Amino acid sequence: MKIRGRAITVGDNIDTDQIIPAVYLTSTDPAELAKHCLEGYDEEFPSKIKEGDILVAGKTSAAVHPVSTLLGR
Amino acid sequence: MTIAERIISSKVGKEVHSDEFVMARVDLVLANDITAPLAIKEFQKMGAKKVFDGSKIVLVPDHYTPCKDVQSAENVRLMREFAREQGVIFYEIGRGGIEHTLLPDEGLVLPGDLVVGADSHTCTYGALSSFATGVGSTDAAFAMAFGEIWLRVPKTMRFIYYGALQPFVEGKDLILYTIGKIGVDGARYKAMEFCGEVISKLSMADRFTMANMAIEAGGKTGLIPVDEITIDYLKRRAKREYPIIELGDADEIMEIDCSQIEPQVACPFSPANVKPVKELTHIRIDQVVIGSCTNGRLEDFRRAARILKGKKVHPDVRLIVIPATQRIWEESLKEGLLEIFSSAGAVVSPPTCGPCLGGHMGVLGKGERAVATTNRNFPGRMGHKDSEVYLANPSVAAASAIKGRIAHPEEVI
Repeated sequence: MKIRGRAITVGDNIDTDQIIPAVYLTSTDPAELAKHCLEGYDEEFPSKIKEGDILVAGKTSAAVHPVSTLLGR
Repeated sequence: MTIAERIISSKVGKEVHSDEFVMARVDLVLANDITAPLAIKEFQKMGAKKVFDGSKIVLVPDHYTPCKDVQSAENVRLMREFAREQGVIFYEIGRGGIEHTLLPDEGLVLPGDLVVGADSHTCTYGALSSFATGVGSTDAAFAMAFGEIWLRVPKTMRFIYYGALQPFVEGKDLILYTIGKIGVDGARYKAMEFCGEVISKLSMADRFTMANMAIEAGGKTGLIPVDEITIDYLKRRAKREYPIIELGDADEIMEIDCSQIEPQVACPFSPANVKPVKELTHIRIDQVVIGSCTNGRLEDFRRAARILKGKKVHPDVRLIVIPATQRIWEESLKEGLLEIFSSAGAVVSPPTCGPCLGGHMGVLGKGERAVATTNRNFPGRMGHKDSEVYLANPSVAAASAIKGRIAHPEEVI
């Protein structure tokens, strides 16, 4: 399988609070969560990415809310 | 075999070893007001009609409760309706509290159990020799429907603690010191085991504190073998029989000399950025939080009250005290601890995770700094992204509240 796109790298230990700050966790809607995607890592991040981008992270951890957040983009 | 291998084998029905992928039976499934709504939606989406066993599923609203806004109220309403319809255990506010303190205190978790919870600090119950671990909401939904979970059996990393503890060194300091030594991924996907002469003298409260933070080193769970202290704790609580889980094999062993450990503080923005409190006494603070699933037990409030009795919170500091469960709140009241806190100028909150995750009941503003007995200090964890959290034990937190800066308890006692 070949995937082409712009790669965005974010390094190691991107914890759940960086992927989706806990303050937004009252929502379960991927589209709503996506508006704050990686905001804890970089406040401007949601505006810097577009559909088709490839996110490359190092050693990390994630639960379902973060995954939904990423799926929402 | 390791403790983890033994417990998981008993849930698979045959002998399994580290690195094997298995389907294992679960004894308890947990979700809270952040994760249960997602899990319930996934449960319905997969077409599941009935949970595998309502007596083995617990829903605890604790993060944004008492509900802080309409959205959080809707989430808890969904949980309440699901609990009623499916006959699962639900802890209403005023009768419950923070999940990881509540479940063991209610006798719902016993040695040898396999527990999955849709919350990363589910590893807390490892202190009772239960293989307890955090899972995502989708995995929790599957476990609620089928009573099973998929796992890779972890390797075991044993920590042996020896030496006499210095004054004011508590379970929190031992685990912070350990995380500082091995880093936030030092035990990634490993079952951590805490044992040795120091651990065998620790109270259950301190043991829960240590197991609670296993995840901050990447641990799958944090196990402590069963001894007299465990049995004594379970005497009034266990409603089922349970096995006496003793130490077995380990893949790696690390020895820690505790006699050299002073009270520890984890500085922003990592639980592994640990320094002795004495190196940080110049740091001024705006807020102190004593509570959470890490340090919200009666023993923790006794320690804080010992420091705060007859003293006043520094005029520039807000002190927020949060007993983890209704029972602990009540016991703290009866012992006069809440009066000590209130007289010192603290606010006493109902049980909630609240400020720990920047949710409510004590969120930090821009540039503000807090000392907290909680477990995470990532950027923005307690509020504004430019706020800072220093993690410490309840005695250090109380002393810091009095001084208006990070302080060693010796300075005020």
